[in-house]
Amino acid sequence: MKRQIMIMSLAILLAGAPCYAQSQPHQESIEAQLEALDLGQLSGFTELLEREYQDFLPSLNVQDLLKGTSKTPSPTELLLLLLQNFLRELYLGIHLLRQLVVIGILAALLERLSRSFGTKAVVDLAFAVCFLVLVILGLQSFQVASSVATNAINQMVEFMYSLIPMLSSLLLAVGGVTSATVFHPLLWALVGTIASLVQNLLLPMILMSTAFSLVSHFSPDLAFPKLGSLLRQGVITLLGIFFIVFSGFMVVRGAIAPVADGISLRTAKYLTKTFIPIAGSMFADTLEVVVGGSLLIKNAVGVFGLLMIMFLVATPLLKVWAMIVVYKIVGVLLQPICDQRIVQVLATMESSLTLVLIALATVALMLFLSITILVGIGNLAVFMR
Amino acid sequence: MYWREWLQTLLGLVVLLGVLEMLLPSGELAKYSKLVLGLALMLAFLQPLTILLNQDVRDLDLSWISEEASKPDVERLADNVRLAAATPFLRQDEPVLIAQMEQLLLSLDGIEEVTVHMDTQGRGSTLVEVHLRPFSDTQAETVARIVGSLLTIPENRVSVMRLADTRR
Repeated sequence: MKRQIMIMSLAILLAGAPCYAQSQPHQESIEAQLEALDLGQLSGFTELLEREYQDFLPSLNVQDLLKGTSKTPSPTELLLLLLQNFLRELYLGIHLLRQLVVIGILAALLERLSRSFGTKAVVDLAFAVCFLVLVILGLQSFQVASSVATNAINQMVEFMYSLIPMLSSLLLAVGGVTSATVFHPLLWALVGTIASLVQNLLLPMILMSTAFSLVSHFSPDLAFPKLGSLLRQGVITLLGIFFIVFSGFMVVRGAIAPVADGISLRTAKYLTKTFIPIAGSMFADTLEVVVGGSLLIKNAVGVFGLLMIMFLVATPLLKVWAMIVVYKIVGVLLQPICDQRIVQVLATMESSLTLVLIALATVALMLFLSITILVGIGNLAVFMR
Repeated sequence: MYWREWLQTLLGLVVLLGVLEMLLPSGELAKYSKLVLGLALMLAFLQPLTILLNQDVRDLDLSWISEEASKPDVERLADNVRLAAATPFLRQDEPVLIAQMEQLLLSLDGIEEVTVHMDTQGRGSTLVEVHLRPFSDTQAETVARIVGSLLTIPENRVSVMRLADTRR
């Protein structure tokens, strides 16, 4: 308890009074650590973001770290920005909407013609052509969505690969030896595995299920409608399993490791204090200050990472979501005039795109969770001593 | 990427057979023609099965499941960070810390004389030099660990040496 109060008061002192005598080496120490960490490669990732998002990221320079008052983004501003981007994506989707509606109307017209004339086979064929064009358009927009998702996942994984070593080494530096040795290899493996499983297994599965479902509307007798829904079920189950395994690992490890760290740190301090009472406590206090600086950096880097992941996934999510909305709108528009099969095709596309959205969001959520836990563990280990 | 070809074949076949069914005259034989088309589709669907059965399962390439990038050396980065964090404080309180460290080390069992040097300005490989008398390897290891943990610097930046007789 005493230690916690001490660290907190230290943090307050450092935050409130930069001219305080203690802050000179403190600032130097933080500067040196930032230099050793080489945060430049993290800042390089901000280039991937759009201009508006970059303003919301916390800066990682010494002054802002010490003051602790880097401008906090207001939630309303952020929401407005996201809404604006969503509307922009929707506006870009107008093109797709126009194409779909025109084809739908054409198909409806052909159907009416077939009723009034008698030559059924010819009109049937024309309808089939319209239907196929619709299916091809749908598959194209699915390809766009899945490549957007793949890109986003690649970017996030690359970012994680440069963030994890930094967070782990800062975790080691603040004394979380057990946690770092447990978490670093685990996270390293899990991030790569999950990302490549989603890219190489889940997205193809979603594509297959979309294709089978779409085609089965074309000729209901000669297709595999069951296979489409089976694959969809499989995708949802796999995503659930990934998420459960991932969060289970993280939560269980996160509950145990910091306690072990805290105990080993406490033992070390107990030994120094019993060796020589006065000198021991002086050394212990120095350690507290040094660790405080590292902790400050670790939390700042962690928050930076969380926001980065959020913004990296925001644009692709909005893009896919806008596509879903376009399909919904087209479905609503065409329902009164079109054949029910066409409406079903649109519904299938919509649900497949939703699956892509869910897969992308799940990956982002897992990465988000792992950063949160990695940051939280360090704080826990420091406060446990 | 075999599954992609399979999917393409299957989808093409479904569309083709659908069109064919549409064009065929709907007579007495229509239901049989539908059966034949369905059988053809089934055959196409089961095509990967033959490959699976013929292939040795152990030859399957599953390396894509975990394409790991090479693991970076976190320990060394952590050592650098810890060193960078501690050095300014050591520089500030150098004389006091040296005196207290000597006093502390002298209180260890079996150490008669000790001197501590710090090199906080240079960027050499050793930051703290400890000279001991009498010198033993196990003792040196303990001393390095204690100094490292007290000053929060990595152990390999502490070098423990024999105190030269001439300096006595």
